[in-house]
Amino acid sequence: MREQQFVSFLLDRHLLGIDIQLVREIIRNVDFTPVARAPQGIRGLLNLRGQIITVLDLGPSLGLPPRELGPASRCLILKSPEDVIPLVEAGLVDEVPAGEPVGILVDAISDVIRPGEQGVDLPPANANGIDADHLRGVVRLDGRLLLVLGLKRLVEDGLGLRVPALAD
Amino acid sequence: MDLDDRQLLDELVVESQDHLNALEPDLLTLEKGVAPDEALELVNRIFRGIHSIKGGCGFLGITTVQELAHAMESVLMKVRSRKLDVSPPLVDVLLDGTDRVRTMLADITHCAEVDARDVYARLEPFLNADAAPPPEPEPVAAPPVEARRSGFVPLRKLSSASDGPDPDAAPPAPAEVVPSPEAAGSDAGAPGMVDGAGPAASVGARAGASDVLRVRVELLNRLMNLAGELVLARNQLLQALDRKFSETAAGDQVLGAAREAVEDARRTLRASLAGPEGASPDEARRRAERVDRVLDDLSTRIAQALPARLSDLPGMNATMVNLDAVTTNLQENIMRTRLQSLEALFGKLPRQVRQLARQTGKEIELVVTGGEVELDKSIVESLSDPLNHLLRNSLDHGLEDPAGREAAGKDRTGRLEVRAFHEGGQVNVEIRDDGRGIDPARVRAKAVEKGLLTPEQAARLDDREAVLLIFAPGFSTAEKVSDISGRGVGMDVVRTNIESLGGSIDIDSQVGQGTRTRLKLPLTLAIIPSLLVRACGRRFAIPQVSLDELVRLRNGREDQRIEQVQDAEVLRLRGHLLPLVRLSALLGLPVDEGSARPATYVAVLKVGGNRYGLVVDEVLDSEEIVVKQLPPSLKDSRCYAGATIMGDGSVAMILDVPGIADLGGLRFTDAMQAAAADERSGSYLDRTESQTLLLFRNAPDGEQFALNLAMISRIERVKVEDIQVAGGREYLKFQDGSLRLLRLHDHLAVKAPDAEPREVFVIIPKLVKHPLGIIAWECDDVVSVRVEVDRDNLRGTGLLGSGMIDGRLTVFLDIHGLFEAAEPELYHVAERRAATLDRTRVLLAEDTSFFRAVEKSYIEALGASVTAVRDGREAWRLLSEEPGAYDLVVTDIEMPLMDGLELTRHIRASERHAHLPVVALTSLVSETSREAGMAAGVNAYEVKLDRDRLATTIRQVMEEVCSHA
Repeated sequence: MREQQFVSFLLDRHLLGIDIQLVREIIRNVDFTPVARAPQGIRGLLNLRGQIITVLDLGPSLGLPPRELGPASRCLILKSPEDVIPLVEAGLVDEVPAGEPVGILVDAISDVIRPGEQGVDLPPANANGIDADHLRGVVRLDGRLLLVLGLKRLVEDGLGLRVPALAD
Repeated sequence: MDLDDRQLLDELVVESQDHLNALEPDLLTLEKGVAPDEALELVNRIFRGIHSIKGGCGFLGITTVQELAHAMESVLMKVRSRKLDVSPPLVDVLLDGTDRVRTMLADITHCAEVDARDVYARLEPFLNADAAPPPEPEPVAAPPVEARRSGFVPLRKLSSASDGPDPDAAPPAPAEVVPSPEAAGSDAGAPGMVDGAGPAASVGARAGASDVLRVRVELLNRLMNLAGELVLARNQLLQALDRKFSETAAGDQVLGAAREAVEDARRTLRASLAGPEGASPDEARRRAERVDRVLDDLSTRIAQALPARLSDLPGMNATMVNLDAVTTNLQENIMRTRLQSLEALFGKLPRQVRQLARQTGKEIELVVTGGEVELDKSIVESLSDPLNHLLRNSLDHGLEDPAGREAAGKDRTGRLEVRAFHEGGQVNVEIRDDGRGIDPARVRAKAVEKGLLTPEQAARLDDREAVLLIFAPGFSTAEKVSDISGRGVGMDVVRTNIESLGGSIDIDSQVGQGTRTRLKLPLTLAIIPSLLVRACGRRFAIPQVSLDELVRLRNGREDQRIEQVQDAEVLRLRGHLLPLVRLSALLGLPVDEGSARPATYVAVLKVGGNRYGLVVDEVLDSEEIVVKQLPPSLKDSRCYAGATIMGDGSVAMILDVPGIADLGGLRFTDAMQAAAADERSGSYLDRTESQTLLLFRNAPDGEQFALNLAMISRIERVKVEDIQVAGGREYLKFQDGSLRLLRLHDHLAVKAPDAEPREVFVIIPKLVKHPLGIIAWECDDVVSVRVEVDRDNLRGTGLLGSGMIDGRLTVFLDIHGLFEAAEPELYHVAERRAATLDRTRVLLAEDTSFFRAVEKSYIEALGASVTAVRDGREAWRLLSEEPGAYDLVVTDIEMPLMDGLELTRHIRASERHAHLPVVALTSLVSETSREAGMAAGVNAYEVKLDRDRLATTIRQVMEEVCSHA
């Protein structure tokens, strides 16, 4: 696997990571407007410099409790497909997450992780209770396991674009 | 094709379309006939337009368009070289050619698939015309003979301007012919082209072309977003400064307090130092000095620790004011870049009108003004169809043919005026003709014929109201369906379209003098006026265009106006019932305890012809908001129409007014709509039979109930002590036996009396198998009224629905349902449920709302599904539209438009429905009416309101049908 870097973050004490190439920016402002009658994963809408961002909580899709906002809460704004497609074409990433501007709510941001020589391992069937379907791999750190998420499906799930029964 | 090419191509298409738009009116003017010098100018301009299209398409290798443009250009050159005269057939083929080019441009990547052979075929004779010069004086309006004497531009010059040899070009004309003096003016066009001194206005309009730059809408949208961002940043900056100001003010106070504390400490310390038991005066002074030093130092440090004052920043205030003004200005101007002039739309009108005038054989003078008025691009685009429809209406129905006009003492040529102008922050578009006007009498007749109104109702409308009927769904004044209008897309569609743009339409017509239709439109859809409300602490925006009025309800007094029975809430508003939706409940938000608030608000909202009330906690403000598209994942929510960003940078949802009505389960059924419409025209109810009702109450301050007197055997006034209790039930000694009594509040969610009176009323029904007595607190009245029973606001076991009687909400009881709930054993509910008629689809025709509700509930109780309609005509329409969709018809006999007997005869006479069973219902069964029914072909004849007999009859009829089948 090529040299990757992951933005790592906490979600209910799990250390999770996503490819840094997919992240546009990380913002402290989690002052979103809650939206009722929205798909389960959508917490609300956020104004990011005039652009409306859909704020997602991956918790329900991962089988975790919904996020509670705290001082360490952050929102990871994902790149738009237009920005990601060239990266895919360049072979830098291999998934295009969502068709709308999405921010992912996390409990706290951790380090940027470079797997280095030990690389990314294939995920076990069930890593700390998270379904392997949602994982692209694991990185073994000192005494901790970084679970690298596959975003496409999680985001589609959260946006209600995926009918659970048909999920493969 | 790479991106740059794509972009070039897009630009080419837009540019070519502009050329087409510009040259079409010129072609039309040319055809009408103009002065020779003007004709030259027109031909020049048309030529240049076509030539540019040809050049551009050639450059990008779009040969299909290039070749057609070339052929047209060649013909035009012949006109310029006086080899050809302008004639209607020539203009026709040129117009068709431009049309074809337009079609090609519309889908440029597939333009080769557009067949233009017919156009080529028609251009051909003109191209070859130089062999045989056209016959001398052309018997057409255009160009008069003098045109020949004025100097047309020599062909040679033209050829050099086109980018290639023109094989079809006529032999060169004398090279040095000098253009006419008038035409020798400006030369702003393509090289070698002589721009004639045409009408000053048109030249002026074109002169500015070089100041115009084409910008992609996408870029404008981005700019708009950025401007919005800037506005927000400004707001945040202002807020931050505001905070700072108040911090400084607070700091001054803190500083003052601290200094005071320091001085206080100083005094205290000095006093203590100067105390009698103190050391030597020197020692005391030294100590005092040290205290002073320490305290002074402390004072300074406190002052330093506080923030610098804003006033210490010179010019800050002025800068802020300036920033504020510039930002606002910038935003407004960027907004205006999205505006487009109506010219794009108006420019096409002469062409359309010309064509329509030809088709209809009418002579029409079209006057278009106000093309420079600007509207949001999307509105201009959506306006095309409605405008077209209105023009067609004017041409087809409004304006008379020349003979007709002369007969009416008018000028042969009809006048059609299209005018746009600003008024009160909106744009008005007016279409006015001087034709025959809309004849209210004809509209009335049509409405009656279409079954929209009874003759009496129609007669009651005043002329203006009658004219407005043309907006009714399904109405079309066209007596014959013609090629031009009256194709089923009626004025109701026009109205819907205009309303969906946030506009309105009004019509004004005088018989014999003409019709004026006025559209009122907002300037932009990107910014809409809205009302901000709050529910459960969240802000929402309601588009003003959907808002009818606001009703404030003082808390604690809500119940005076909100009638709540079972789970349906309605607001009594000036004698009407308004279904309510509570926003917080609908959105599933935790319900805010209302006691803290002094009042609750109901926003009365419009959905088409219907209204409903949205209950919110607070009304905040009216504000112009910038509409942002919803993210795709929220598009299915149905309760939001968009989102907007508020001044403080937070997002607020824009409510979807029709979507919420939908989600709230408000079904504005056809019947309700009709009733609403009738209410406006004043009189649907007059048509329905009146019914005699007993009005009573279960509690002194409780709901008003109604029972049809036909269902009541007697009413007894009973002393409470005469009611006996046995086994937890109440009985009344009655005639020879005992009658079980029931209290409504035991079986329905209705108000119970707080105390027991000495006497009550017992209502004893008839037409039921096992009568039970209903205890009533008070029997108020027996009234004979016509009333609509609404089954949607109020539903539940034992209830038929609700209606308004003398301005009071009245609950109609379903005796059968009520008794079944009270005495399931007696009524063998379980057993009956088992023997259902499910899968039986019943079509019920009944004009009286009350009976319709009752009969529907009776038949539905059998398990059948019921479609209820108001008259035989409607029933017949449904049967014809969906043959096989119904298993049984139950019909009233006396109905307007088409009665039950006629319906039955229709059914029996049709091949498809001949065997469809029909049960007729009537309030009176006499032998003659029964015979008439049987003669018409009904299977059974029953009396209304007797449920058990109706059930038995329906079962028998269905069994017979099944056994035959």
